[in-house]
Formats: sequence, C-alpha cells, structure tokens
Amino acid sequence: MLSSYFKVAIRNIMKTKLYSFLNILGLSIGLAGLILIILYTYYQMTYDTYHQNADRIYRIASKFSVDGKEDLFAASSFAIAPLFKEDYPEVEDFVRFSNMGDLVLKYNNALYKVSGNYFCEQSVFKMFTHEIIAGSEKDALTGLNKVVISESTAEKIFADEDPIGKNLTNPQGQVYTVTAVFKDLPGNVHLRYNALYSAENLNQRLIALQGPGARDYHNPQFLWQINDMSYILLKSNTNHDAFIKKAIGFGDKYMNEQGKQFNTFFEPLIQPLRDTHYGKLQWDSPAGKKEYIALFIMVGFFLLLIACINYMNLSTARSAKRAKEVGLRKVVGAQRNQLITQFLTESVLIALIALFFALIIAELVLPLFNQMAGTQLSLKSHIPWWLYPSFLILTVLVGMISGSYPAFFLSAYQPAIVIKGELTKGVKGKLIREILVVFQFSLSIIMIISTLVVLKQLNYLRSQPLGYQKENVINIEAARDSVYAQNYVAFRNEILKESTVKGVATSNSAPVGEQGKLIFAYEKNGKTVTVGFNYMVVDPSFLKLMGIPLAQGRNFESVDGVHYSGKMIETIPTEFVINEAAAKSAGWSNPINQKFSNAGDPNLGKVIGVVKDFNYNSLHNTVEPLALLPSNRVERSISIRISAENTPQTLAKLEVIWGKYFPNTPFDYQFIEEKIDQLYASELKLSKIFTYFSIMCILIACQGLLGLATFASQQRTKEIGIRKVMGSNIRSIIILLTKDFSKLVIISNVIALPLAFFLMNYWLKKFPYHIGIPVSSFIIAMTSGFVIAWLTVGVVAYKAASANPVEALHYE
Amino acid sequence: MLRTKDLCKIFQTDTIETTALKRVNIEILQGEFVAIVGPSGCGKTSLLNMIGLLDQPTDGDIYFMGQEVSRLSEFKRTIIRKENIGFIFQSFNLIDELTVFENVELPYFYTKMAPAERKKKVDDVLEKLQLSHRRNHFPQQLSGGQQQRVAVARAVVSNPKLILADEPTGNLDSKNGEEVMELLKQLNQQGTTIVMVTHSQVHAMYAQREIHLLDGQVIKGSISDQL
Repeated sequence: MLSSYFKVAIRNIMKTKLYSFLNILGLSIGLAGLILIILYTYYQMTYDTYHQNADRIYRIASKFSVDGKEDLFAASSFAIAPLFKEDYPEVEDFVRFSNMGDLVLKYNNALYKVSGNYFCEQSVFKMFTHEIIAGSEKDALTGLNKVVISESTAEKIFADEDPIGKNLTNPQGQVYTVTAVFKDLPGNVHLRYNALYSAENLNQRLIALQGPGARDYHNPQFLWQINDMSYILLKSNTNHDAFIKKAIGFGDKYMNEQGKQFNTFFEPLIQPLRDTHYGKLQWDSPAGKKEYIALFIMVGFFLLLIACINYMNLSTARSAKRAKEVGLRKVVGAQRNQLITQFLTESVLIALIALFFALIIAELVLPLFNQMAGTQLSLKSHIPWWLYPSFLILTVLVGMISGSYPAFFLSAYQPAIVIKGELTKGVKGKLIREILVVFQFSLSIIMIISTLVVLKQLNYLRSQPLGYQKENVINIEAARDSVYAQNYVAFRNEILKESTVKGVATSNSAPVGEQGKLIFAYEKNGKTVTVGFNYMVVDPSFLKLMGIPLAQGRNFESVDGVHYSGKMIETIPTEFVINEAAAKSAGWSNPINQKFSNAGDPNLGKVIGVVKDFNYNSLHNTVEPLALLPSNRVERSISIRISAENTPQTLAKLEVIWGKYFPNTPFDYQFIEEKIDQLYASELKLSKIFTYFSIMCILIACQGLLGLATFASQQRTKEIGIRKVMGSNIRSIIILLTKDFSKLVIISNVIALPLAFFLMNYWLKKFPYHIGIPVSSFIIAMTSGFVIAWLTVGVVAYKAASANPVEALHYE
Repeated sequence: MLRTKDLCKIFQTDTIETTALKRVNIEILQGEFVAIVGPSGCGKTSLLNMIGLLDQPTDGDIYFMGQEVSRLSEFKRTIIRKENIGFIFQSFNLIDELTVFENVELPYFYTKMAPAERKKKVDDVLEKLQLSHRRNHFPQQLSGGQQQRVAVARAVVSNPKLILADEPTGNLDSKNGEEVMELLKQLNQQGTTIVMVTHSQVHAMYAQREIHLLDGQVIKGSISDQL
C-alpha cells in the first residue's frame, strides 16, 4: 500500500511541476536554515571541547579596580600561574602563552607570514589536546630554539618536504627548529595558534635585557604586569566552586596591600575554559555571544515553521484538484485514516526531497554563513555521526507537520459532494491564511526598512568628519627588529624626497581603533588624583601628518621630526599633549602647564598642549580622554600620507624603497580608511545578514501569497467565467483579484511601519552619532511591498483571467 | 435487498431550504435492474447517493439487506459500501494519476487481499471488458467510451451485490452508450442488482422497472410488480 502511495505521490509531484517546485523550494530553504542553525548551535555548544581536559582547565584572567572603576583583562601576569601551583594543591599543572602576534618567518630565503605565534611551555601538550601528525610532542618545547607548528603552516612553508628538523628564522634572526606538527585546531577553540615557540627563549631574552631577576615569579612587582594568557589544570577530584572561591583571595594575599597606595586592587578571574569564548574581557581573542545562539535557534525554527505553514497553505490551495480523487477513494471504500496516511506519505516524501536540496543549499551557503558568523562550520568534518540521522528524523517530522493540515482538510470531503464536482467553499481557515500572509509581509517590510536604515547609518558613520584627515594615509606595522630601528630614519628621508609623499610619522599603534590605557596622576585641590586615560605614543610629526589641530599650547619639540628632543626620565616623558575630553575630565579650564604624569607622581610632568577632540576610535562612542606621549625612539606603526593622484604608482615606489631598507618584512600596508571600515565590521556584518534575511523573508512571503492567491482564484473560477461571459476583459479581472490582496499589504504596512520605526529608533540611539529615521526607507519598503504582492498575485490572476470561460463554467 | 422508508432530504444554505426528496418509499429486489427516471432536479442523484450510503438522509430510514444503515457511522457505512456496492458515474470519475489497471484495482486497494490474487481478478475483468491492451494507460489517453468501460470494470471488479450507475451514458455518444448498456445488462443477467439513474428513455428500456421521480416524490414504480 505504501509503495502505491509513493507512486501516486511521485506522479503528483511530476504532474504539477511549478507547484511542487515551490513547495520543495520553500521546505528546502526552511530545512537548510534549520541545518545551518543545528550546525551553528552544535559548534557553539562544543566550544573548546576539542581539548579533552576542557572541564578541568581554567584561565586566570585579571580584574583590576582603579578608583572603584573595574577593568577586566583576559591576560594575567607570567608570575601568577606558578604561584597558583605553589599555593593551591588543587592545581595539577599550568601553561602560559605569550603572544607575538603575526610574524614573518624565513625558510630557504623565502618569507612566510604566520599568524598566531606564542611562546609556550611544554606542559601545553599535557593540558591541551593536540593531534601530532609529524615529529613527537615529547620535549617538543623543552629547552631552547624549538617550534611546533600547525599542519596548514607546515604545508605553507614546507609543501612536500618533511618539516621535522628544519629551521625557521624569525625577524630578530633567531633560529627555531621544528620539532612537531599538530593537526590544525578546529574553528571552535578560543585560543588559536599556528606556531608555539620554546618559552625558554623568552625567559633568556628578558633576563638578558632586564637582569637575572626578570623571570622571578616570587617578585610581587611582576604581578602587576599583565602580558600572558595563563591556564591551569585542576586535579580530577577537585571541588571547582570551592577552589574558585578560595583563589579569589590571591589578590589580597599578594598584591592589594601594595595596590592600596594607588587605589588599585586586583582579583584573579578564574574562568572555565569552555566559557572563555563568551567572556567580555579586554585583550581577548574574538569572543562569541551566547545571546546569538538563542537568537539563531529562534530564527531557524521560525523559518521552518513558516515554510511548514506555507506548505499547508499551498496544499490546501490546491485541494480542489485533489478533491475528486479523495471522493473516489472514499466511494470505493477508503477510510479517512487511510487517506490521511496517503497525504502524510506524500508530504513526508516532499520533505525528504526537500532535505536533499536543503543539504545542497546549506553546503552552498556555508562559506557565506561562516564569513558572517565568524565560524568554520562544515557539513563534512567536525560533525558527530548522529547529527545526520537527526536531520532525517526532523525532516520526517517536518513532513508530518506540514502534511497534517492538508491531510485532515482533504480527507474530510464528503464524497457525495465532491463527486458531483461541487467544492466546499473553503472559507474556513481563510482568515488564518490571511493572517499568516499579513504576518509574513509585515516581517518582510520591517526587514526591508531595517536593511535600508542600517546601510544608511553605516554610510553616515563612514562619512562623518573625524577631526583628522583620514584620506590618503596608509599605515604599516613594522617588524619588531633592530633593522627597523636602525633604518627607519633613512627610509623616512628617502620617501620624503618623493613628491607624492606628503608626510610620515610613527606611533605606538595605528591611529585608528582601540588604544591602550595608562594610569595618570594629576593634582586637583591640592590632592593627587589617579585616572585611567587612553594613550598613544607619537613622534613629533604625528599631529601635523594626521591633520589634528591644536586647541591650545604647543606640540612636542624635535630636532629631526622623528625624535622627541624634550626631557625624559628613563622611558617616562615630562611633557604631555592631551585632548579636550581629557582636559574636561580633569576639570581644567586652562590645562597648559598643569601637573600631569604617568609615573605616579603628578609633579614629574606637565601638559604642554591640547588637541581638538578627534575620533581615534569608532563612532560607537563619543571621544574619550586621550593623552599623547612623545617618543624618543621610532615607534612601530608608520603612517604615510600620499597624494591623491597616481596612488598605484606611489605605492609601487614605496614598496621598492621599503624593500631596500626592510628586506625581511613584507610591505603590508592598509589605508586608514580601510581600518576605519573595520571598526564598523559588526554593522557591516549586520547589514549583510539583514540583506540576506530580507530576501529570504520576501521569498517566503511571496510563497505564502502565491498559495493564497491560487486558492482564491480557484474559488472564484465560476465568478471569473461569468464575468468574462458578461464582457469583462482580462485586465479588469486581474484588478479584481489583486484588489483583495492589496488590502492585506495595506494592513501589513500599518503593522510594520510603526514597529520598524520603534525598532530602528532604538537601534540608532545606541550610536552617539546617528542619522534621523529616513522617511525614504519607509517609502521604498512600502512600495516594494505592493510591487512584490502585485507581481506575485498578478501572475496567478493573469492565469485565471486568461482561462477559457467555457471551461470555468463547465466545471460547476 | 434495499428499501427506503419515508426518505427525506433537505439541502440547507444560509437562507434557503431546498427539498430534494419528500417521503420517498421504494424497494429494490435482489437481481432487479431498476431505472430511476425523471426531469432535471427531481432528486434522482440525491436518491442514488442516499442508497449508495454516500450521503445521509435528513429523515427516514434506509434498509440494506435488512439492516437500517442511514444512521451508521461513516466508518461502518464505508465498510458496507466497500463490500457490497459498486458505482458508475456520468463523468467516469477515474483518478488521473492512476493507470487503467490501478484505477480498476482501487476497490481492492483498501482490502487485505493478497497482491497476486488482486492482480488476477483485475486482469480477468480487464480481459472481459477488452481493456487488457490499455492496462498501463492513463485515463487521459483513452476515449470516453473506453474510460466508462474502465469505470464499469472498477465497479464490478469486487463482485458487488449492487451496482449504482448515475447517468452512465450521459457523456457518451450513442454507440458507446449502447455498449455500456449492454455491459450492464449482461451483469444483471449474471445476478448483479443494478440501479441506474438516466435521462434517456431508450436506455431506461434496458431496465426491468422504472421508478419515476418528480419534484422529489415517487410518482410511479416505487415497488416491484412481483410484490
């Protein structure tokens, strides 16, 4: 019996190709959405579980409170983990990662850029999971000059060669020997790296620079310097909560007595490894948001539900075509439950076909999805086997749910009525179907408006005057090597000879983006006040290069435009330039010559100038207080202003000169404007997601409307026939049919417009700099709602209107 | 075999009541060939639907093989229908998605008969009605006469005791119409009771008795002369 159901189902699918296509397409999109959501959720829920000890590993992060204001950092002192092991018997082992960022490594005279470089200890192999595919993890990082690299890095540098025992040279000229290669870490581990280097090299270097006590973790002074990512492994029988409670006392025990003088206190943050990805700490790897998971799950099920309801809608809309079959089957003795089984079989079959296409859609969409969600999802790897059968079970369920309404609806026909050719006038459920379409259209209109508003706001943010001249400035991050320090001045002098180079300056970090914080002290009412201000270390050419105007006072003095010529106490300057926000924050009406320093004592320095506020960070925030520190050495971030004309030629020229002075570092530049765009990456991502989601909403709404319109035109077949016999033309019939649906679109607009207004108003208010609600977006969305609805209904209406009226009447 | 007692059928829409049948009392004997005749709208099809258990009367009783059936549940009526009654319609009512063979097989589809036995029975009927060469065709590929032959085949395949035919020749030309009537006559001669609704005086002559309906009432022939 089942095989016969399948046979009829397949014949039906083949016979009504357009309808089947729409139904399968709708369900495919819904299922593809669900598959992506399941993959995404699984991926997020299993963050860091790649590491078999994940449940016993904790990260020690830092919580500082300065004058009652809390700052949380993902990093901690190199000294804290060994002290933990000494103090707490629960700690089985520890490992510290010291970040070197991106490095350019040399092998056989070729340069390779490698991201994710850390000094690290041998214990990493005991604590974290690594699948070693070449070499051995035994003593892989013990001692000096060893490096362990990831599979992809090995492939990049060594191609087919065996990497084990080969030497890699870093920009400082140090040589590391590859001891092991590990399989690339999956996308869902929080701390990702491609190369781990012997920690002993770092120790030796620091001891050479700072003396024999440089790595003495018993020296409490070091606890205040946070540099490393520290992880501890707890013994298996440990009571974790009790341990964490106990460990919080660490700050009081070692540091807070000393911190009191600066009104600064420390507390270790003991984070479970599996939670580190969801933290909101500074200096952390990119973090995820748990809220997004719930949101994604909601969106996925929502999508699927709508697809199911659309299926019901289209199926019932087509019920007239199936009525005769139902009647006949009943006449020859089919019971209602047998008919229900038949229709459910059919919908399950359609759902299964849809699953096939859904997998294809998911596979095609995955790269885009990964790019937007920042994930590395794949249908092939990192998926437990049981996810596939669960897709299948879900699909069967979806088929049953989708098929349930048409099955019950169709099987309820009275044979005596349908055999005669009369159809139940399906007014029943019409309201529900209309509500559904209104809902889908409202959602589409809201999405269209939101997309337009987000795009407009994004454009606005990117076109705002920032208080400096952002155009035609490129920024290069120089290597941390001695060659750079030696050759910079010569490099600078040579490029300045080029007519297309307007200026050059260095700073400790790119002039755009998140800046570091320092503790400053100043005097207020005879008392010393400490405060955390953002800071930048800049050379004396910086202000002029960036076009940042002074409001008061003067710039740093210099003899050569590169080095600060004022007085320094060791590395601490005696002069500072601050911005207006900082002056305001300190409460100075006349900031010049106010006592101000980052050396703890305000008497050690003074303010010499005030610059007008400029947006050194994104426009998500107003301009925060900033202090500029002068530099008497060259800083690593080079900014070069070039002329607007002949950019490619200028860049090519610069590259040649760069290669001459810094042969070991690639000419890896970025325009400041690109960097600014990166600050709005999340808005850009949002605008992309909104765009895709809008398209999907519109597609789904069209499908719903199509179902409704088909049903309506079938119900009115007789009316259309009579009207045509009476002389109505096709156009007036199309108008007649579309009129009803225009009403639905009007209702959708009435619902959607105010909702979109409130939503967007709320969203825009998060920005201190934002556009007003653009009326044009509303008009565009409204119009597109109508156009889309008319087009969709128009197709159906045209078909109904152009049918032969004789057939329409014969049908009765 | 079949008897109605004061059978009434009223169709109701929002504001209008239409009386299709008024206190109809008829009796049909086993082995009879009865034609129900009368002008359009006199209630012929309503009566046929009622005695075929496709519809329920507003009032009155229907006795099928001695049992009152009009107030049985749909489930039970379906079983009685399945086991005893075959239908032939004016518009053939074949399922477009099924082949000739599958359409004829349909009455067995909802029984527990083994596929091999089922196949044999269907093949026999198709053979008898000279449709074997068309067994894998779809209804749209057949002429009207052939389609009605398929419908007859479907009606008789399960050897029903009663065949109800609603204007079986209405959509056919005279030649094909005669053929179908000859088929029905043969079936009746083999013992099947036949009740046929028709407009055609000529085709009504095939029947042994005519029941005349006018405005929902029987005006002639409600009971067999044998009674």
